[in-house]
Amino acid sequence: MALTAHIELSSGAIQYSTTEPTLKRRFLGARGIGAKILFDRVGARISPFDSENCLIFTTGPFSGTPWPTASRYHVTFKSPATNAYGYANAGGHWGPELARAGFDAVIVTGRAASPVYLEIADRAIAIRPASHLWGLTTVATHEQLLGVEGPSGRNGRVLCIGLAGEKRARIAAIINDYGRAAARGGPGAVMGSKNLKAIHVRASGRGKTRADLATVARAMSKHLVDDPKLSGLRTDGTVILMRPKNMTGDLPAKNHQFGQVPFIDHVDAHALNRYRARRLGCAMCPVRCSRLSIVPDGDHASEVEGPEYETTDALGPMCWNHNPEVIIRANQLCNEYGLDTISTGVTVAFAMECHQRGVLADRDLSLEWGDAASILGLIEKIGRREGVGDVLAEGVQRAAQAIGRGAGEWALHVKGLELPRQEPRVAKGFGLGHATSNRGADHLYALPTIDVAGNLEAARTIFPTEIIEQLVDPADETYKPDMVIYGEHYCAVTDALGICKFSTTEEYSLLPDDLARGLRALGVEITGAALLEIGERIVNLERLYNVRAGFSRANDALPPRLTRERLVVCASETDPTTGMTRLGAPLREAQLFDFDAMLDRYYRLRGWDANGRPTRAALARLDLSAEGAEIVG
Amino acid sequence: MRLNRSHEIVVRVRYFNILADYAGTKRAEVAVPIETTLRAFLNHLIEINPEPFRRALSRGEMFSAYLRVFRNERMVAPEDFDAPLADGDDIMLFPAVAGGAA
Repeated sequence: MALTAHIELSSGAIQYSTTEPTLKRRFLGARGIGAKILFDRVGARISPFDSENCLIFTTGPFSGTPWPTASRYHVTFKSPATNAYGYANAGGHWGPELARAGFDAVIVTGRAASPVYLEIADRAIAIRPASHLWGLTTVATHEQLLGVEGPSGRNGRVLCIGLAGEKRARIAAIINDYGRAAARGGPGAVMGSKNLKAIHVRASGRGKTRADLATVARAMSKHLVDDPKLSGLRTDGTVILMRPKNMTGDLPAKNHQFGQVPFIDHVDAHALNRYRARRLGCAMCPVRCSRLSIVPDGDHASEVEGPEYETTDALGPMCWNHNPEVIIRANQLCNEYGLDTISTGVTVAFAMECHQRGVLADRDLSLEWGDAASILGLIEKIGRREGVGDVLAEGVQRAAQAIGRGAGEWALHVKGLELPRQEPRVAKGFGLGHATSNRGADHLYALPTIDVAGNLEAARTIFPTEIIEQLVDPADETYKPDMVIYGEHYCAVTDALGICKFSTTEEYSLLPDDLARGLRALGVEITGAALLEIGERIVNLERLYNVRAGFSRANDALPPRLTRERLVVCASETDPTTGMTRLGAPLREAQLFDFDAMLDRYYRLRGWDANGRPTRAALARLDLSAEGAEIVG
Repeated sequence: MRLNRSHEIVVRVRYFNILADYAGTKRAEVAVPIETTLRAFLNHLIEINPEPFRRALSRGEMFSAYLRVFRNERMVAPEDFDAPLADGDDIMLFPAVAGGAA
């Protein structure tokens, strides 16, 4: 039986318990178990940087098995970005290593008197001094702890924070395996507030595989390899999205003033592949969508895992930056400081728009759109909390409040978390999903791709025939809530199992019944429908957490720019002189017609009231009456 | 208007997302010679639509990796693009844009 470890850093006490079977039955694993522990232990009166806040590292039932894409770990906490429910999730190799070391969950509370790191071996944890690591970059921290074995895995796996986390930047990430990030919502800042620099895991166990699971896992892996819907991810990774998104107006640029750029040839997959030294993949992944990029020399010489799509848009078009070498270097800087590349790019773009509007200046940096020195310089200042970087390290919501003078109009966030890289006026399902996500603006909370990906096969499997034609039209708002709700449940299941959404909700290559088949091979009797009900339970518990913290419909709102301003989408055409792609005549205006109507339908379908609060009936159906008793009456 | 002569077939095509903007319509019926393959049909659509439509469907000689084609509501793998179409076939074209980050 795997363990749950309770680590109290203030006293140094460490306790172990067998993870409760009831907890697994109701919440499955990883994200679900993290949500329940946070709900029970971190109430509304505890602030994110209070020592009572928890950092809950969890793995899922598939972690440490050969199930394809079982590479993910989850970390749950009260978020310093949103002051509400927070989690982050990352791939790589750290999660499976933790599972093989025998742990379902590692709960960290308290605050160490001086910097420490955790050393986890097989079913045992020690707290070690980390003063020699404090102040180091994430790469240097990895090198210190892993020694000459480096990323081979022979000396275990590491996650850690950089300077940004140490200084409690609210956009600070946790970096694992050198270049993977559990980024969103400020987990690095919470880790820094606990004086916890790193967690080094070494496992000797082979994991919890069984022969019948291995058979199912092999079949699923082959299915993923053969699925033509995943071919783009296999060949180019997520940056394959740059070009089609630019074509459709779904490539946010200049802080969402535009949805397209005239320089797409400089920042698309083809351009970035010039710097791709080799493809990379997470543990157990047959897709291998990641990459090692190297800029060999020049001002921006760098070497980093990435960039993937979100990073490329955030540090490229969003800042009007057309130089791929600057994107790669900026990615590396973010990783070294331990910063969320999405939130950092959005924050830099926010600062540049504040400068454009005449409300922000810096003595060292021009803050002009696309200026490489400003992009890279701001990342350094944010990471070090120097000068203007000190206020920007708070994220755009708090920075806008500090700057004033209307800056809130240009702060692209939901609930305090910076917007990921979709354009809600074009990808309307994503717009709704960003707004309803309980961890703040998040493309991965629902991952509502069915319409924009033209995934007709998934639509036919999931939804009634009569709504499909409207549902798969990205411009039609009618049934976006239906798509978002299904996606939220399936994403919660995916996170709870410890696997990657690129096998599930990205393209619906694997369906809930496929996952249930794998669980049955592990001895868990369950159906796909029952899995989705657990997903719904997790989402409702996360919502309850936020309702208890005072959140309501008003917090399920998109930034004003996205609901008030129209976006012009232009034809993407070839310049006959240069042969390069350029933007031609306007084709149409994109806008959200009736966001409130989408929200109303979303709440109604969920069985929530008009203010976004789960009703007693909905909670009873999901076996959450006890959790909701003091919150919804 | 459906004009089905003995030497040709009529194929219904539905455009989604930006393709509808480029084509200026969400749906059309297109007459092509019998035995026309899906590949030839897509190339015909490129010929009869504005230049940006071509860019959306292809890069060089290849159809875009992000072009998703359904024939009679079943997704067509690239290796099946050379199968001949039948009269009354329904073709749906999506520029596939999925989510993004891990």
